[in-house]
Amino acid sequence: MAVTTQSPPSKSGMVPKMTATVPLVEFVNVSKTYKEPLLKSRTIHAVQDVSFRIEPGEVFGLLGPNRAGKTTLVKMLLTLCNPTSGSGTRFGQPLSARSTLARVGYVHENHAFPRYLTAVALLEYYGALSLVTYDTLRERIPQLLRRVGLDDRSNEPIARFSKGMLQRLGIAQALINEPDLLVLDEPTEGLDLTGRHLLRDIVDEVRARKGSVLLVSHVLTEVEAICDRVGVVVNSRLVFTGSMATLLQSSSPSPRTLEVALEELYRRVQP
Amino acid sequence: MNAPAALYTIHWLIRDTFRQARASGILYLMCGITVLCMAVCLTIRVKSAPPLPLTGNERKESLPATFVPAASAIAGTVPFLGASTSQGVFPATQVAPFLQGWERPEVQGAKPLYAVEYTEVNKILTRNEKVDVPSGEVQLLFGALPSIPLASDDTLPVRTVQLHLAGFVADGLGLLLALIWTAGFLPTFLEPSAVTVLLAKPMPRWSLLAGKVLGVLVYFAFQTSLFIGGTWLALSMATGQWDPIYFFCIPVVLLHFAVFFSFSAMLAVSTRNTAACVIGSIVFWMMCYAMNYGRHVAMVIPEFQHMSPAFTFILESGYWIFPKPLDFHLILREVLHADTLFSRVVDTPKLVEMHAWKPFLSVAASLAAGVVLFSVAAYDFVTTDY
Repeated sequence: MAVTTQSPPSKSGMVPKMTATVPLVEFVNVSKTYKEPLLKSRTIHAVQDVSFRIEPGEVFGLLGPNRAGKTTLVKMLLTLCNPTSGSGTRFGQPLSARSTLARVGYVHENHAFPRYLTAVALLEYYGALSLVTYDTLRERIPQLLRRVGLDDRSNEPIARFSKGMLQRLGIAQALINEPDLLVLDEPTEGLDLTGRHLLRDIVDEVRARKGSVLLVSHVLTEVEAICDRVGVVVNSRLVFTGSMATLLQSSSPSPRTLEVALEELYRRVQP
Repeated sequence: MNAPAALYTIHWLIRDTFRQARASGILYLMCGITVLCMAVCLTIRVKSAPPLPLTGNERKESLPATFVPAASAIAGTVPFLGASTSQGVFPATQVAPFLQGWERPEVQGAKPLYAVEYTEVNKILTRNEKVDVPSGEVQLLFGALPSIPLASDDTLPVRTVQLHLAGFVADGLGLLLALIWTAGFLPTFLEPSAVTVLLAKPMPRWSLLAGKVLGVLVYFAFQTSLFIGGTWLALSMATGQWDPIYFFCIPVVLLHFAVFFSFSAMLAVSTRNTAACVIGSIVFWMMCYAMNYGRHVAMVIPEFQHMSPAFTFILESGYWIFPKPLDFHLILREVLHADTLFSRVVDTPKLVEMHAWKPFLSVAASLAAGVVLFSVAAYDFVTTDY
């Protein structure tokens, strides 16, 4: 989905047409530091000087070892925490503009949904908090449950659901507001083969309607299959941004895998 | 985000709290307590005595000889209600100051709704005084328990039961149990893995916390209304006394709970720990009660005038800064005219006379403390990095 912004009025006083296309997500020199909980004097640099953008219709993957800073980037994108320095935009608006979150869907890696809810009640609840009207929810929820394969368990308490079923439900709740930006944090966790295919289909659909996807995953095959571009975060810095093809490029004649490419990259940048 | 959207969010969070209450069993448990109390109320039967004289000694007579053995059978345990002597009317216990407030003009015209213990009766007999003879009786559980002699009209036993229900079941035990039971609602809601998905939704953070806190308050209001309304209906049906003053207990109990739940909310946001919320809330309530009680007792004792200004300042500051649970209870007693039935917890008439207790100001100060506590919780919640 293309987002346009209005340029300032020209000197002639004429207001130009809304033509300039802006990225769905843009981070410019963003850093995030935390104070150690007990020793407040010690500072932890979770993210340092990170800049990247996600264009409309693009699937962007975030890769990197554990504790590199990927989740912090996602959290800042979703306003779960604020950058210490630098700036970012979402749909052309500052990250602090929460209203744009109505166009975002988020799949968390470890859902802890209220276990007393049924699948339908949960989607109603999360949909309502996404400011979707009740009439729309009543129409959309059965479709979504059918889509993720939970329509036969729709009125069962989710306390009885397996991890895979909860993950499917998590995907359904992320789609409840028909998001233009889908943020997937380890979405294949617990999903079977059918579930993974479903996820790929959903990503393709979002891409087809010019929406964007941010994928954070350690499952490299998924990343390789789904993403158009990737960013690699190591030691809280973004050390690579580019197409998958560029990352996989090798000086040797034989093609290398994503795993090998990442290992080489880590070796090169880590002290 | 506009106001309708915030209201829409809050509406759904309230709805979610009711679902949570139902799933955790609290809803059924509290409804069960209400039904049990209603059932007990329905078993109450009052055979009322003729109304007591407002003035004079026209119904005063000697206690019949047969009364003494009957009285001694249950002596010391059950007071008979409404006895008055030629000297006036006796309070419920000997600890209570004799006839507090009896001289007050506004009380003089009222029906004497005092109780007296059997030990007092024996003294009356010894002194050969004349008293109002208990000619009515109150029966519990359809008379399965020994009946309580009654020497007044049937307003008195109804008020007595109402005071026990509102003051001890709802505002005492019920409130503390509700604080314990609902203390887990917010920490569960605020667990990082649960709240992160909610925080990625478009509504402002404050509305998320406000919605959940309001949800608990609406739930408690519902349970309190159900309890007060249900027991009022049952008691009225059983006794024929349809006195609506009992409904005033609902806002008093609700305000009392709201003030202390805001402290629980503050703990929930800062610790996200159910145990910390449960223990913290109860300890805070007890501490505030002690402060409240200590201040009132200190005010009425003569020695207080000689205490150091620093101590007085600390006591007064603590009283006005912290919520005042005892004051809510005192207001309940005032509403139900309980000071005419039981001995006073503190000497409220004297406090009023000294201008040291102003119920409305006390409630306002407690509410202000609750607002401050909730504001701290909201600020913490809005500024926390998840």
